[in-house]
Parts: sequence; structure tokens; C-alpha cells
Amino acid sequence: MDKLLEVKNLKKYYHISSNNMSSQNAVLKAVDDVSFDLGKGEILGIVGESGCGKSTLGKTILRLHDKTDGQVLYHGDDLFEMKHQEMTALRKQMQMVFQDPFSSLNPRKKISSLIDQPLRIHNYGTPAEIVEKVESIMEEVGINPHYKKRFPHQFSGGQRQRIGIARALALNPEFVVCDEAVSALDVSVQAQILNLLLDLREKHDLTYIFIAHDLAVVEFISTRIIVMYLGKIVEVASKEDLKKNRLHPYTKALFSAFPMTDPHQRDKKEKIVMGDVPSPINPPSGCHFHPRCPFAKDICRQEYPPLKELESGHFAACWLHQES
Amino acid sequence: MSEETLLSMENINVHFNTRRGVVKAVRDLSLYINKGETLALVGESGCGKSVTAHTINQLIPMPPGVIESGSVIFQGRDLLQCTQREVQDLRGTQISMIFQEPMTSLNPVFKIGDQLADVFMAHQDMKKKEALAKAVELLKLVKIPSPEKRAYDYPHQLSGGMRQRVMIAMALASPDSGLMIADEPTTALDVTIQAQILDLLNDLKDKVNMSLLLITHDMGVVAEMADRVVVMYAGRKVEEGTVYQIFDNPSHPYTLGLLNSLPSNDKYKNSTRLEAIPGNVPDLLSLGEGCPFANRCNWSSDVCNKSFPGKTELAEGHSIWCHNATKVIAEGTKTNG
Amino acid sequence: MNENIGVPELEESPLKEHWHSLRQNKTAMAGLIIIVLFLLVGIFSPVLAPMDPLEQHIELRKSAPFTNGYILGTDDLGRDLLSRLIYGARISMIIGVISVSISLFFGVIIGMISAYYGGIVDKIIMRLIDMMLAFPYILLTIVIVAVLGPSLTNAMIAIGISQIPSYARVVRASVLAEKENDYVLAERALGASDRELMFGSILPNCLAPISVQATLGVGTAILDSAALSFLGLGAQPPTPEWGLMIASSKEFITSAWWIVTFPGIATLLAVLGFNLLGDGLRDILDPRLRD
Repeated sequence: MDKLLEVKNLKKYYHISSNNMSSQNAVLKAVDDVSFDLGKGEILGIVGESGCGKSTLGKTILRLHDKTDGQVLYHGDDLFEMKHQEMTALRKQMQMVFQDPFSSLNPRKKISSLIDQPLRIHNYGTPAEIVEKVESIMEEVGINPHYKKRFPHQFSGGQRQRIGIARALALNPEFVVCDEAVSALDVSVQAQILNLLLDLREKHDLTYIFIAHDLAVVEFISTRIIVMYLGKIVEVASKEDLKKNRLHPYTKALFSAFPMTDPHQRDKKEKIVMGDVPSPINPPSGCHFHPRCPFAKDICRQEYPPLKELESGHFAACWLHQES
Repeated sequence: MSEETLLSMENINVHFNTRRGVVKAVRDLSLYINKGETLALVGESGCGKSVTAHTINQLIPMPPGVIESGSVIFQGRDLLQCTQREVQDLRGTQISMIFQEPMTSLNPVFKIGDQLADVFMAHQDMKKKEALAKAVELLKLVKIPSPEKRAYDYPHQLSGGMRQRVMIAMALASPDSGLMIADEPTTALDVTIQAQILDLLNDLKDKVNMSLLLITHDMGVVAEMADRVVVMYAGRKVEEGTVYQIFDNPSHPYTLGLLNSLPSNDKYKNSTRLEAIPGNVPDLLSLGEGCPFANRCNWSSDVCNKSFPGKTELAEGHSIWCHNATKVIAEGTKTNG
Repeated sequence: MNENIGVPELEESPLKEHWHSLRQNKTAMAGLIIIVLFLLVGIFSPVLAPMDPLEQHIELRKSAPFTNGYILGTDDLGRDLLSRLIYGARISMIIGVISVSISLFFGVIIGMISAYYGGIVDKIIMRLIDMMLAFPYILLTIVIVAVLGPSLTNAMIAIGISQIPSYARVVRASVLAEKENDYVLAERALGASDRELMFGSILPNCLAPISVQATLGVGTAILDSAALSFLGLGAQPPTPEWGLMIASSKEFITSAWWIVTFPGIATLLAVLGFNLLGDGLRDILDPRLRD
């Protein structure tokens, strides 16, 4: 499999000043030493609870945020080494679909000028060619081109998300980060958008990173899944492996907490995890999960476990499965 | 029904007058909740589930809202005929409510212990000290760790999950909490926290013998919590039954479509396409007299656009409102693997 | 699959919606009517004015209103007060528009850059703005006029410059809020340049608070120029500027009250009009003040 993207020891820290007077700034490690590869044609799901850094990771990969440390190699070239012009040119190939279809479309722009914006920025062609492209892409995502003179607020959430997708796909990218792309939508509309994303992937040979907190959605759409907790990757495995064998206690807890849509199962579930997600500003020592982990040992409190390949292609960062 | 009915709503019609026209938010809705039961009111945005809840404790802003007709009988009294004062008393003591975003329903400038104590002092004539002790007791009941200390915290010092626990404690502050209305209580929470809150609600329901009206869009939450389910679509009740009837034998085209839309559905183990319901939720302004689901429905016929169908009872307690009930049941169950 | 089922009926455009709310707001409409009247008077002053505003009839000086064929009487040099007021409206409108344009132009650029880039750029700009705000506003204006030399043009420039800080702050505050929206990030992901993001995307969404500020600003500018002219730092005689008219006739307030009163009323009305409209616009456009 061709490597499209390599993320190496990526870190993204935020300095939080609690007030202007104090010189002691807290550091929020939103993404803390994250490494993974992404092969062409994959759909890599990233799951985790709020504050785990999945969204920051997605945006840093596209260099929408600056990094603190580490590398993001796209076809072998480091994005953060690129000059402004090179980066702008590369944006044609990597795109993003956002969570909130209400705030991710400029309310003052008509649909046509929202979709033709990327085409104009990257000098797609003559005005007539651009109009033609806008109409064809609107059809492709299932919005009647007849409505192109309308404003975003005149559409429903699902239709706005289609418009967001149309924009992202206008330049025929090869890599798209979907950040909670269906989370704000009603269930029946969510299914339509998931289908659309899958259709477009087949048609345009796309590679996705699919970030979501909804485990059912990620499990359905992804080929491989990364589980994150407080800025770190705790487990990576193919969808099938992860279903069969969840190695990290957090992964187990997360999946068991997810409500199943079968009332007959309700009393059979094991309840594992207790307590709250700790603040990412001052995470627990050692393995960040140890205060909530029923299997925590001494070493878990002292040292963060490395992410290790325990089975072929199945990584986990947990002391239960390795020696220090 | 052999059980005792706690609340029943009959033929509720609620509309809102907006500048763009009349929004018929709830139409001809009837439902009941038995004592000790959890009823889930499920549907997508704009289906009228929250309006229904607000009709019960009369939190509908009027104007623009208008409760056109119907009755809400709670323990033998019609709430729609009560005075504001009477409803207010009821709201504090026998009907309590928790919301999606607990931060907005807690007063940010008071300590949570004081806010809880206030509820006791207002409705039960307690002394401050006694009320505070009761408050701590309640915080313990909702499993907040070290409740003696937490009582002196302000709302912003607590996590989202903890705040929702405080809200639940507040709802339990009444001596006989008859009915708790939970409007999307876990939607803003992470899954591991959601699981804890749902657990807590189930525990408490048994402990204090209350009924729960659970409003949610999440079929997973319904499957975990509900005894009975009412499915709503665009202001109308379209299916009603026990949780097992609804999940094992969904019979209204909308319920079928909703369950088929879930990626967690077993039938998608080896599939890469979901069976989505086509189209969008209709604009409540432009609804006709027909079945609101007709334009998205695979089984719709001419009659569907003309009038809203009557009830078809499939089993005891399991009904759907669909013109083509027999056809849908024959064909629908086949596609629902 | 027909995806266009349930597309809501075409709603009114935001502009129409605002116009509708404006029509409902009585004070704002009153303000708008006053402003439109003043604008019309200003534009058509040569047509409307019964006489030349500079023409003196010494023998008819200090004629009371409705005497000798003068509707509002004459001033101390026998010039027709009504004609002077009508031409004064034109001058006041020009002063308002030009000085607000100056403050707007620089205020928007400074506020935008400050908020968009943030960090050290923001800190430096905001400290400079704070320094400007530390001077009493009218003192600052007087200093600028004193440096440039007293004239109507320089008064406009001075008023424009000394108002820049308040515009910059309004713009900065709304840009700070607006740039957090995902659409800014979305357009950056598409490759949009900083300039396009600042002025093509963010600015149109900040127009509401800016237009409120500008409307109120026109009223302030008219008042300030009257003040400067009154002090002798603005318009010079014989310009029919309202402030100057008040200044040059203040000694007649007991003997010929109309000469000083009518320019005062005209100034008051014009400023009132802009303030009423500005407050109304704020009610309509600022969702935080709306229910």
C-alpha cells in the first residue's frame, strides 16, 4: 500500500494563561507525540471523547494549525517545511469537511460563490467553465443547481453538509479529513451523508480520515481505527481486529459504554469505567487512563506505556500487554 | 392496562404563530405514562418531542405558542385548566425536569449546595441548616464523590457529567417525585459519562419510585432505558409500543427507516451502504392534512397525501398510524433483517 | 433518490428581514425620517433656499421670523436665516460623511489587522489605541486642528482621526468573535489568502456593529464640528455652518433669540436623527440585545 501520509511524533501544545498577571502558564497538550501512517485508499477513523485531541490532530495534519513539534509527511514531503505558495497549491489535494454545517459556511455568501471559491482561488478555468463545474458538483452531492443563488440559512442541516462536501470536492482532492462530519445531523440524514461520502470515495478514489465521537459511525465507515485519550493514541487496529480483540482497557470501556440498539442486550453489558475524563491541562501521571482503569498496576502510575505492535498491525499503549 | 396511569395526554394540538406562518408543532397527540414506567419519546429535530414535554409542565412561551386543544391529566387533575400558581407548585414538587445543557439551568453565581437547599426551603418549609443537610444527602444519592465538599462548589467548577448529576439531584429534591421529564439528558455528554448518567437514572427510578419521560433522538439510549416508546414525526405520533415491540418488530415506515439508518444495525456487518431515508424532514410551515412522512415513504399512495391515517393496532399496546399498514408489515419486516 | 424534497420555501433575504424589523421600530423610523429629510435638504439646498445665504441686507438685519418676508428672520448682518440653515444642512452632512469615512477606513483596517493576526501585532496596536484614548477626545481633536490650522477641511480630518480608536475597537471585538467560526477555517483550508479572509469573508459578517457605530458617529461628528466651529477652529465666516452661526450670534441671545436658537435646533434635530437610527439599528442588528 502506498503511503499517502506519515505523521511522526506530532505535538500540538497550547499555552493557557489563566490570567494575564501570572507568569506561570499552563500547557494543554492537545496532541502529544502522535505517530501513524495513512495508506492510499484507506478510511482511517479517529475516535475518542471530548478533549482527546482528535479534532486538533485533524486540523494540524492539514496545517490549519501550527505544530509544536514533529513532522507531517505528505507523499514524503514535510508540510511544515513548505513555503506559503507550495502549501496553497497543495491545498487542492487535501481538504476538510467540518462538523457544524451552520458555522462552516459563510452566512453572507450564496451557494454558488461558496462552491466556486476554491475554483477561483486555484484558477480552475474561465468563468463559464467554473459555472459548469459548480453545477455539476452540486448535482453530484444531491443539491439541485436551481438553488445556487440561495443563502446557507435557507437549507436544512443535511443539505448544508452536502454543500460543505461539494466545496471540499470541487478541486478533486485525493485526501479529505472529515471532522465530525455527520455528528450534527439527524439520524436519517446522517445515513444519507455517510452513503454520499462512500460513493464519492469510490468514484474519486479518495482517502479519508474520519474523526467522530460516535463509535457506531466510525466502526461502520472506517477500515482502520485509532482510539485517542487525552492527546495520545492508546490503540490502533484494523476495524476487524478491533472488533475481535480490544486490547486497551479504555477501548473496552468506550465501546461497552456505547448504547447498543438492542433492548435485549441491556442487562448483559459489563460496566467498566467510572469517573470523569480528567482535564487535559494537567493529565494524570504515567498512563493517563490509570485513575479510571480497573487493572492499573504500579508502573501505570509512574510511566507512560509506549505504543507497541502487539499483533500484526494492532498497536496498543498499555502496560498490561508489555513489560517495562 | 392494569397498571396505574400517572399522566395522560389527550388530543394535544400546539401551534406557534411566527411571521412566516403557523407552525403546527404537535398535532392530535395522545399518550400516557404509568407509575414507575419509563416512556421514551423519540424522533428527529422538529418532530415536536420537546414541545410535548413543555406542554406538560406549561413551559411553552405564549405567545407565540398556543395550546389549541386537548387535556393533560396528571393524578386526576387537568393541568391545562390549572392556574399558573398551581402548575408552579406542581413543577417544583411532583413534575421535575432535566435538560440537555445543565450549565444553563444552574445559576452560576450560587454554590450548588445552596441552590439545592433553596428547593427544600421553597417547597418544604425547612430551615437552612436542615435543607443543606438534605442537599448533601441528595448529592450522595446521585453518586457525587465527597458530596460534603462539592456542595460548596460553584457550577463552573464541576464537569458536565457532575453538573447533570446536580440537576438530577435538584429534580429529586421533592418528597414524592412523581414524574421526571428528561429532555436529551445525555446528548451533551461523552459516552462513558452518558453510560454513568443513564445507569444513575435507572437506579434512582427504582429507589424513589418515579416515572420517567425520556426525550431523545438516540435509538441507543431508547434501547437501554425505555419500557415503552412513542415515535414522533413532524408533530405526529406514528408508532407506539413496548421497547421490545418497537425494536423487534418496527412497523411504521418511518420507524423502519430510522432503525435502518443506524450504522450499528446488525445488517451492516458486511455492507458498505446504509439504507437511508431519502429527503429531509419537512418544513413544519408547509404541512398539509396528509401523512407528513408520505413524501419520503416507499409505500405512500394517493390517500397518504389527503388525510392522516387512523390507528392500526398490531398487538396489545403496539399501534401504528399508517394508511398502508398491512402492506408495510408484509414487506417491511422482510427488509428489516 | 430525490434529494430536494423538503427544501424550505425561499425565505426573505437577511436585508429584507432587517428592513422589516426596522419598520417595526418606531424610534428608528423617526430617526430615519429626520435623516432623509436633512439629506434631501442638503442635496437640494440651492433649489430649496429662498435666497443666497451670503447675501447681506444690513437694513433688514435682525428681522424677527415672519417679518419682512423672512420666514425665520435674518441674522445680525441681514442674511436670510432659513437659507443659511438649508445650506448648513449640506455642510453638516458632508462633515458627517467625510469624517466618519476617514475613521471607518482606518478603524476597519487597524481593527481587522489587530484582531486577525493577534499576538504581538495586536498588543502593539491596542496599546497605541489606548494611548490615543487616554487623551480627552475633544482635546485631541483641538490639538490636531491646531497643528493643521483651523479650517473646515482640517476639522473634518481631525474629527476623523480622533475617532479612529473607537472604530478600531468595535471592529476588533467583532472580528475576534467572528474569526472563531468554522467558515474561516474552512476557507483557509480551501487555500484562501489572508486578505481574502479578512475583507472578503470576515468583514461582511461584522457589518452590523460597524454600521451602528458609523450611524452614531455621523451624529457625533456633526456635533463636534459645530463645537470646533464654535471655538473658531472649524468653519470660518461667512460659511453658513451651524456651530459657527451659533458662535457668532451668541451675544444676541436676549435681543434676537432666533439667530442663535434655530441653528441650535437644527443641530439638535440632525444629531437626534442619527442617534435614534443608530440605537434602533443596534436593537435590530445586535442579537445579544434581542430577545
